[in-house]
Amino acid sequence: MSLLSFWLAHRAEFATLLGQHVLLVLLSTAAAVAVGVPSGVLAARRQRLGAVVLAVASALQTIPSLALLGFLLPLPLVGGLGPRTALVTLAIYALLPIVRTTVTGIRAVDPAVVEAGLAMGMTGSQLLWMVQLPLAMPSIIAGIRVATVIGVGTTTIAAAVGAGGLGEYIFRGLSMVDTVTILAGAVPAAALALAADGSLGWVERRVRYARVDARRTAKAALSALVLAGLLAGGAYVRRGADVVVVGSKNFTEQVVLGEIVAQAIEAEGVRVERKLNLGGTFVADHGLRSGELDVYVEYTGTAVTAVFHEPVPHESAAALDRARVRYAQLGLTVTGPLGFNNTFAILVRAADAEALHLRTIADLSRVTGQAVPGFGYEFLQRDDGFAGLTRAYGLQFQSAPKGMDLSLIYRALAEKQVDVIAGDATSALIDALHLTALEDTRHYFPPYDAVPVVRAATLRRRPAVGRALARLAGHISDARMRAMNAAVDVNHEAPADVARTFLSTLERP
Amino acid sequence: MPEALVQFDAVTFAHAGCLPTVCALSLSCLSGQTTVLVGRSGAGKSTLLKLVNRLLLPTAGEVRVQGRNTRDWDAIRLRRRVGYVMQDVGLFPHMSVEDNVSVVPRLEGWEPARVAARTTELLDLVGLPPATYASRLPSELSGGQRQRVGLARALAVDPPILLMDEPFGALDPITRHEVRESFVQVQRHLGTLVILVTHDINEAFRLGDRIGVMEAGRLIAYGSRDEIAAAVDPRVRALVALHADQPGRPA
Repeated sequence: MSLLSFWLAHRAEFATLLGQHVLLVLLSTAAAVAVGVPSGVLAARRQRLGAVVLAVASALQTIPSLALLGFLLPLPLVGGLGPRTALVTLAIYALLPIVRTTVTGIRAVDPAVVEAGLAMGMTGSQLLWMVQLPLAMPSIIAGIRVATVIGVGTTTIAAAVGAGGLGEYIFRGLSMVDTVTILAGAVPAAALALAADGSLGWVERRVRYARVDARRTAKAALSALVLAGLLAGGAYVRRGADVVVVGSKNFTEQVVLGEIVAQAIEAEGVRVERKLNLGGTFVADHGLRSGELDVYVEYTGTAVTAVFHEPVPHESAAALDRARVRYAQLGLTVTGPLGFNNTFAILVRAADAEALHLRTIADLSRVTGQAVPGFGYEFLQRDDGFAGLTRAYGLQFQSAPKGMDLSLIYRALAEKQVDVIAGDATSALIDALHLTALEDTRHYFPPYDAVPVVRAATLRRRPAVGRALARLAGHISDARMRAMNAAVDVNHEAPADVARTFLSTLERP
Repeated sequence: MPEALVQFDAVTFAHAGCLPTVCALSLSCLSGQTTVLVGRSGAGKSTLLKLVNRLLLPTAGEVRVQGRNTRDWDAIRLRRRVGYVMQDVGLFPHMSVEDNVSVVPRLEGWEPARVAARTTELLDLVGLPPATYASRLPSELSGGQRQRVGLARALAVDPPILLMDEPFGALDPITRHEVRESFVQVQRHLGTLVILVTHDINEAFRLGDRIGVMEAGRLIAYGSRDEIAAAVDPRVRALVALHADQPGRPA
């Protein structure tokens, strides 16, 4: 599918995401200006305070953006799923260039001009508004320009916390290994950055030669900020009390399952808001506990180890029980399993498997000298991940495992950048990229049965949600899930369409 | 005897941890007179001016303006009564000539019509026809024109006191002569007390009713032109000798 036909097919969604992206950049930059310019002014006037302010702004800048999102997510007031966390993160990144150029701009004002202002009998604030700010304005605008251009790029990570924006396409494309979808988000983001750079450059040049009334400029900026705030309110605060929020993590299967759950609930006549493509188990679980999500599909093994940090029973029913009990303590209900087990699959290239006679995970011990393992970050971290695997099978890889994003890992294997990976047993890419799953003869991997986890309060308030989830129970087999993943990853069908087709095969509610 | 509008009483000024730039200096400046302070760079002349409009406060002794210690003046009120023309002009580069000249009237909250009338009057006074110059930016003016704008700006609210720090220093000789002559005209017309700082002894003799010679923060001679010309102090004599070498000395 070409880029143009992709946009055409998704035009409503594209318009929404583009609008969200622009708003996120505008609001976060405006907030950074509102905080950064006054801080810069203070910093320029007091040497010691200035050093502190700049040090703090620089330190904040060095925190990786995803890490910052992670820190902010659980915090009250600033955190949570949705635009708030994203806005705070983006504003923090925009802060440094703005503070720095404000300080530079004000300090660069000719001391003779400042002395003239003082000698004319200007008060401190008259000097600031009539002399220092107008003369610093080109420098400040240059800072805002840098902050905005960086912001357009950084805003793509907003999708990881469910704040929307063009990053949705990028994350979705990465998980589907689909270049068109990635470009559908990346190209307009780049265009936005260029447009922002060009238009603010124009403003900067105008300001340099024009006579600026700083007070009027500040008032105009303030009204623009209020207006943008109202617009944003309109764009985001559509959620009424009667809406059920469905989440998913950021890989194909999760997005398809999120769509299936969402459409099943909609079929009961309940309004649904989707927060799909959330950046991992941690984010989704946090959303559920804090009430920002009502339901998402988790896997029993993941729940017990990654969420509750307990050893997982090797038996499916026992693992499900364990998850059910622990979730219940948090006011969350596990409904009927969907019917498939998405356990880890240790994968190698089919050609290698044949040439080296690799059939089981234990066979890997013959190739640990040369083979380079590559795993998702979660797998490297988790108790039931890499460390446990090598212990269970006595594997000693010569090279340290490469950590990489889950969405890139299959392609990395196919392109021989790594030789052994841990993937999802239900991934469509196993067949599509000619990979072979090695048998887990020692039953190292616990069961990962897919189960919807839903807030008990939501079930009480909206019995229809319970009915919708009950309708799904037991209807998605391993084969069916793999087929749906293939429909999205290989045939590039939209997850929503795949979900709709699936639901049409179930009995009507 | 005319009232002493500005009075230095045993004034010492030193930046923290430095040698004093002004040392136990006493001086009275009378209304309507032009006092010229002459001396080499670093003699403390500019510091003396900044002590008058309270850009600086003395380390010891006191400076009185209209009989009142500058410490007791509200700094803002004091500065709006004291015109100040600086060495490097210090025009606001982002404001037009008109806006530069009308800064103090606007700060004082004058009616726009009165501000406009006063601006026109001042630009005419310093020889810059408003129709041509009012809306130009300082960057669109020559050095001499900028200096005239600086003078007009300092005179805007008819201050009883005018401080001038090397006002003609950066100009070429011909322009300097022109601007200086128009200043003499203006000053005669207004009758303001002027304290002017220069390192040019000829300028001191040309403009000063009273001349003070400064060296290393001290006033080593003070008096009328004739008194300075007749001084016996060898340091003053050396300076006066420079003047004697110049053509056009006053009779």
